[in-house]
Order: sequence, then C-alpha cells, then structure tokens
Amino acid sequence: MRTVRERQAGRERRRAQEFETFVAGAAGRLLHTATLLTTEPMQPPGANPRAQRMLTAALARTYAQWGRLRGEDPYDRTRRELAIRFAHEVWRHHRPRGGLLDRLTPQERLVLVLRLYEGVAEEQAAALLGVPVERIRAICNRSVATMRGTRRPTARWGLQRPLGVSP
Amino acid sequence: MSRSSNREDEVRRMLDGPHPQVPADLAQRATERGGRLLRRRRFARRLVQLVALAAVVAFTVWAVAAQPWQPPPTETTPPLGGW
Repeated sequence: MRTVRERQAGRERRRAQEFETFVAGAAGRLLHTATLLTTEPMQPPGANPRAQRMLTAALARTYAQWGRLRGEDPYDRTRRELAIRFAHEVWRHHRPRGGLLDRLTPQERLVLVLRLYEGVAEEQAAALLGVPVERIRAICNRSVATMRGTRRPTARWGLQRPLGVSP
Repeated sequence: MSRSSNREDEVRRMLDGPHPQVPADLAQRATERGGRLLRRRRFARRLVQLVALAAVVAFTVWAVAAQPWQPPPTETTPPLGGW
C-alpha cells in the first residue's frame, strides 16, 4: 500500500512534468511578450533580465495553481499574470531601454502587445486592465499611430531627453 | 480590408520580429519558486486549520467546565423571618 507521502510525491512529479512540457512550448512566445513590454533588446541572449524575472514570477504562480486551473488554459493564465505584474510595477518600466517599443508609454505598450501581438479581444483587455473598451481602442489607435511614425510620442513626465535617443 | 486594420497589420509585423532566446533553466527556476509558493500556502492553510481546531477545543473545555447554560446561583438571600 502506498503511503500518503508517496502519493503526494508522485503528484508533484507529474505536475512538474506537465508544467515543464507547457513551458517548453510556451516560454518562447511569453518571453517575447515580456521583452516587448519591458522594451529591452531581444538580442543578445540575456539582454532582457527584467523580462526574464517577470516571466519567471508569472510562471511560478501558474505552477503553484497548476492543480486548480479547472480547464483554464495555462497560457492565458500566465499571460494574465504577466500583464497584471507589469501593470503593478509600471513605474519601473518608464525608462526606454533600447527595445522596439521605446517610443510608447508602459500603458500604451501593454495595450498594444495584448491587442496586436497576443490577439486578446478588446473586451477582455478592458476587463483585465479595468478600463472601458473605448479607452482600450483609443490607446491602441494612439500606439499604432506612434509606431508608424504618424504621431508624436506621448509626452512623459520626468523624461528630459528625447525618447529613443541614447545619452 | 479597411485602412485601420491595414495599419494594425503593419504594426503586427513589426512586433513579430526576432524572438529572444529562452534561458535553459527557466522552467526549473519557475518550478522551484512555484514549489516554494505552494509549500508556503499549504503551511499557512495548515496553520489556520490548527488555530481553528485549538479554538474549538478551548471553547468545548471551557463550556464543559463552566456550564454557562446553568442559571447562576441566586445572589440575594431570601428574606429571613419567623424567628
């Protein structure tokens, strides 16, 4: 007869295996999303410590909730965790760091990445960030215009030097 | 196709550039951290259960000893008379 402890160890092992399979498939895309958000450079490897830290923390929470996902997609769950985490520590991500979305404010980045890169519906993005749908649409249009160069970047408080220019 | 979705497609292509390399130990680090989180949560739950159990036991012991449902002994002595 197997003891409770053995059964629990078996469960942990199975959970770790399932989780590893999930990470192997999803980490590439999730890390890209995180790096777009923190606007760190994609190359060389290791140039995005903030994105890696954010993703590790988000994945750790997904792992802790693995047994209680109740059919929810672990990818969605981790993406939501990532977005919430980014929104909470947004004050850390104001400075441009040499990534693609340097010209955008953190909020614009979050909306643009969720809507266009991750393909999250407007309603879902609105619910996730706790703002009206119209606001999501407005921020998204604004970000698209900035990225295409048809609009000046949103002025940001506390940034003296022009955006996207290295000191 | 509308112009706004054309513009969005253009930005979408920009976003879909080269991917960063995933560190080899990412899953392991997340598993370790998640495991710690899980153990801490389990410990907190166990602690709450223990405190609740202790409270129930303490109440039962007190109730059996004090028997608060018994009417308190009368404090005023009945008037004494006839002697």
